[in-house]
Amino acid sequence: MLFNSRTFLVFYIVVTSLYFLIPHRLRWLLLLAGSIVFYMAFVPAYILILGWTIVVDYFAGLFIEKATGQKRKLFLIVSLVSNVGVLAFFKYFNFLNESLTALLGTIGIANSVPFLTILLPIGLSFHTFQAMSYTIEVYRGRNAERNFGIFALYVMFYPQLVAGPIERPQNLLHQFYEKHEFDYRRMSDGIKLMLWGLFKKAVIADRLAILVDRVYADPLSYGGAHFIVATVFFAFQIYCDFSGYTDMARGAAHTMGFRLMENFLRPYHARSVQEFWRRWHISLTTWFRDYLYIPLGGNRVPLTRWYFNIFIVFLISGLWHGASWNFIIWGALHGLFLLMSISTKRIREAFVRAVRLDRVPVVHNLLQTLITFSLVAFAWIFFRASSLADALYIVFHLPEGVVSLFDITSLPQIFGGFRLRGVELTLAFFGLALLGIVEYLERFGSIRERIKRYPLWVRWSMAYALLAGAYFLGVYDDIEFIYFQF
Amino acid sequence: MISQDFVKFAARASIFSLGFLALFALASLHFHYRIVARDNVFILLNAFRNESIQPRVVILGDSHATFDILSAKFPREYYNFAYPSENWRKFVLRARATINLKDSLEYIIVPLDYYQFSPTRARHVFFTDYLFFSPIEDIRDVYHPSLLELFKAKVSSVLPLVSPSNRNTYRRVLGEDIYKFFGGKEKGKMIYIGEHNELRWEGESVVWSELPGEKKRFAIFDREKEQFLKPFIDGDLYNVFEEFFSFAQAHDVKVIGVFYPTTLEYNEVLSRFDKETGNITALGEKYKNLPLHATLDYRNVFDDHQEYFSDTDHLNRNGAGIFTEIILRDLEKIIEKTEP
Repeated sequence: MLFNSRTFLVFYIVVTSLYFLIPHRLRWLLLLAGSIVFYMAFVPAYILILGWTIVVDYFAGLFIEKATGQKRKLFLIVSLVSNVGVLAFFKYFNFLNESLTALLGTIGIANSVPFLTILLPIGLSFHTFQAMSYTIEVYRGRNAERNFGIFALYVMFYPQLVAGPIERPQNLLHQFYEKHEFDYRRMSDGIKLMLWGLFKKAVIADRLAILVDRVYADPLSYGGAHFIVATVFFAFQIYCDFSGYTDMARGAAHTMGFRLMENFLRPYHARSVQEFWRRWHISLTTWFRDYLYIPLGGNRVPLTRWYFNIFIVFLISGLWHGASWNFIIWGALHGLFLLMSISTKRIREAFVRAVRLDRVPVVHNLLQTLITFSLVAFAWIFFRASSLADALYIVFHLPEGVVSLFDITSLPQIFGGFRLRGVELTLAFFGLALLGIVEYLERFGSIRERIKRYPLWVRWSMAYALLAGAYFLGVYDDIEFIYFQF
Repeated sequence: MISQDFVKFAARASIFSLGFLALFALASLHFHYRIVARDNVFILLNAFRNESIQPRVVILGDSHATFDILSAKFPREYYNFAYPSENWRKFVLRARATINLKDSLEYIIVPLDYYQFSPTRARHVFFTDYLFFSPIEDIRDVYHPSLLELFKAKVSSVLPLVSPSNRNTYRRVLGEDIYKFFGGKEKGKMIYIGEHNELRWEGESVVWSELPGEKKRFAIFDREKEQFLKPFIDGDLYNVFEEFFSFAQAHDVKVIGVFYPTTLEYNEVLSRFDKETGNITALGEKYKNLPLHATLDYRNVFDDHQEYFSDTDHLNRNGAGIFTEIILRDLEKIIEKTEP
């Protein structure tokens, strides 16, 4: 059940209406039943995998709480092994098997281990990480959840079940016990957030996808300039796709009174890769920070170990996204960017002072933003390409495109090469321009709060424009959200 | 207990929804007058209903039959009822309608081009535009829609903007209108109705052999991506095709198959694909069992005249004129031969 489908619209209206109509004590049951229906709408059988994770972690939480000494650690390990095991089996088995086949092949040995021919359960990495955060928090001293149903709801709360934000027990669990009265303002805010998310997904992301898919599906038929345009478009596609989903998830939860964490904070405004990761997929970044980076010692270790900690976290982050060398390289590139950024900090600062760039902060900031965006976009090539060979082909052909993009006279030929209708390209640029304006205004404070102060007719006109825009200008071809696959 | 906030929200949400419905109704009305009323399919299907049209021979097919044959050069007993981009499902709907509406019918000319069963063609399962033309039983026989699909199609035939593909069209046309409003050059229809109710297209004056190499390469690439995919034969579409022959036989209508002219480049892609997959040869073998009255193969007829093409597999106006004479001469022979 995709958020941008009519089925979801009906589902959402039914569940939200019932939520406010039934007594408070039954609401968790309604949300749990709704979440089960929501998840089973994808592949029904996979509810069993989710069920396994819930049962194991529920009891692990209770045992960890009761146990003392080494037993606590033992129960935590059981929970982590179970979670990571499920992830490894469904997500990484074929990748490891494929790598083993290639490795054995180099020494002339045939690998007879069969490959799995099953679909990856949707959102597996998200709910597994959310479940893991629970047992880790209980191990760290948090009270275990006694109500099995509430715990199950924590793992599978439908708005954030398949693509996050990856919540923590301390933020979400207690909210299921709170009584949420119907609130006009909250309802209206939540719906507007959902509408903006839908606009980003259907109008911007899915339109950019048409061009991006065309180029990345067949790189051999395109040139360097096409790769640059397609990669920049992909950077915005994945942002609008994922943040659009998050907005819809947060909006849907908000209308019922639940507060889900922010997941994006204008990431392409970041002036360094470090800052980018404080703004992009925040719930995952903070998960890795709290449950991997800090336990590894964080930055309170010798320099080489610190570098190792950073690099390993990004490598695992890459692997979290997908079981292929492309994702590992994507993660490694971000790790390298960060290490380079840390290790060259003094040199760069000295350079900025030497050329007096620090005296014109506007230009300095703009340059930093552009360089950060370029690095992030470059890494996206590995994320998006269908294979490592395709990614390398694109990377090696990028330089030839730089020159032609600066030649204005060649632009019609470059954009003509995508063989898209003029209207589609115009709408793509219109969407990007609108996103740019909204994000620029967001720098000066919440745009939604500002809109609240406008007269009713202005607010309604804007809502109509957004709704009509999403409906008439959107692409509705059942295109799944990119992050569902992780 | 229902709170005041809830009542306020419900009231405002209802007013807001009504406003959006009004906007939707206005847009639907505009869509009807701006697009539906000027749509080539609707105009031509309606024109075919005219009782004065009583052909002995009806030509069905897609853009090949539409543009390669100039209807104006045909005698009155022939009727070119082909339409671009349609697939075998729609050919059958047209054939059934022809058999029902035109007692004079004796022959149906159909395309045998191999790509007709490709997955790209098979994906076209949109039948809403035929709800006003074909009986629902025919649509059920050809498309096997579920009740929900049929309901959706009915809804979108009444409220066309409910359908995403209609919204795409609306968006494109509105975009062009806005462009024109601001002084942009009017973009004519890519396909338009000329004299004698025959369809014409913007590419009819292009000469393939004079195109630059890169353009040709792109055109071939596009065709290859569109037509030569695996699985090459869509089973469902092929069943529709086979059932058509039984239907024609049951109604005593003879079927003549035609392979339309294609460029050297296209033929090269076709034979390369066949070498790799054997799909073309296999399909050719299947054709042998079809109850065809005759088969006309023009694939190589213009091998020495590439200037007659406008793209990889369509003739330009000049080529179409010459081809029409050739096919008419051949058809007359076949039809004459079988007459008592």
